[in-house]
Amino acid sequence: MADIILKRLVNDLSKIDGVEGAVVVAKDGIVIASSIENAETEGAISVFAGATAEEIASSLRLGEVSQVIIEGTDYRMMVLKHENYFLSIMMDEHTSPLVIRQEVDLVLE
Amino acid sequence: MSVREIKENVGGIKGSFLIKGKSIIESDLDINVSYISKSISYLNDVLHERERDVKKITVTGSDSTVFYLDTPYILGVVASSQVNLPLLDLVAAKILKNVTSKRAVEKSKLSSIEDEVPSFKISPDIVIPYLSDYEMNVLKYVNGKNTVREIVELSEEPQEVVARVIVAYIKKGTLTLKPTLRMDFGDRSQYHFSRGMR
Repeated sequence: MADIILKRLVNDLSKIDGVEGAVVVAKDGIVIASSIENAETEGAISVFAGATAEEIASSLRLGEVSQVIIEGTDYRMMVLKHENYFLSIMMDEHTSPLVIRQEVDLVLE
Repeated sequence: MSVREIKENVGGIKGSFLIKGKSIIESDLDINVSYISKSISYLNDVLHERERDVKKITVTGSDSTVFYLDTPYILGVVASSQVNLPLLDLVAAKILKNVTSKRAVEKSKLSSIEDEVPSFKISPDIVIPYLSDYEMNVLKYVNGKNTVREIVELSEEPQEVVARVIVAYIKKGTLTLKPTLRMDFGDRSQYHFSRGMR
């Protein structure tokens, strides 16, 4: 059931303007749901970024990690941490991660 | 402009650090961040391997850490949720620009002294208790035989860090430089001549 919800979530997220795709990946790197072609690669990056963020947060006493945003010249990637998986959303450089985060929180509620 | 100035110019900043490669070259945090420098550098490497350029990474918890990347430098800033992010972006960009241009100056400074041999004018024991870790890592190779270029290799510190430390201690009167004429026939110390000694 959760699997179906996550598949629906990534598909719904992909319909938002500026969002190029999303992937849900378990902490062991297994892709659970995806709306992008190179899901394995994006999933691996998401898990690595999430794990690195947890190390950094623990060392710098940032508290529980809620999100990681990686920004390049022409893209933004937001990794959201959930209990058993990471949700990673790829967007273009003009899209606000804050707005996307609000949408995701609404769906996950 | 040093990383300490971020705290002075932007509200809500807990501390900052500057990484070059995988080494910390400046920090005003009271936490050892060398472990973090490696983690963030590996993440950057992984993204580059996948042909992603990375300019900024933000890790958000109850507080946030923002990493600004400008190869080979990474500027890390620990900030509270109240921070003015657009202002922080501006100040960080200014600091990274400053570091890059300073690097070019220090590189040229280094090339003018890289074949010179630094030596202590006073007993090293007098200065050792006051050295930071990276200064110690540079000055421990100053023995009147190693050239500046060799000290860069031995210490594994960035070139500009070695140049900055050596030039600073020359200005303080702790070190002096001698040009070298070296004949390498195996045992370097045996065939080392300094012009100052001729």
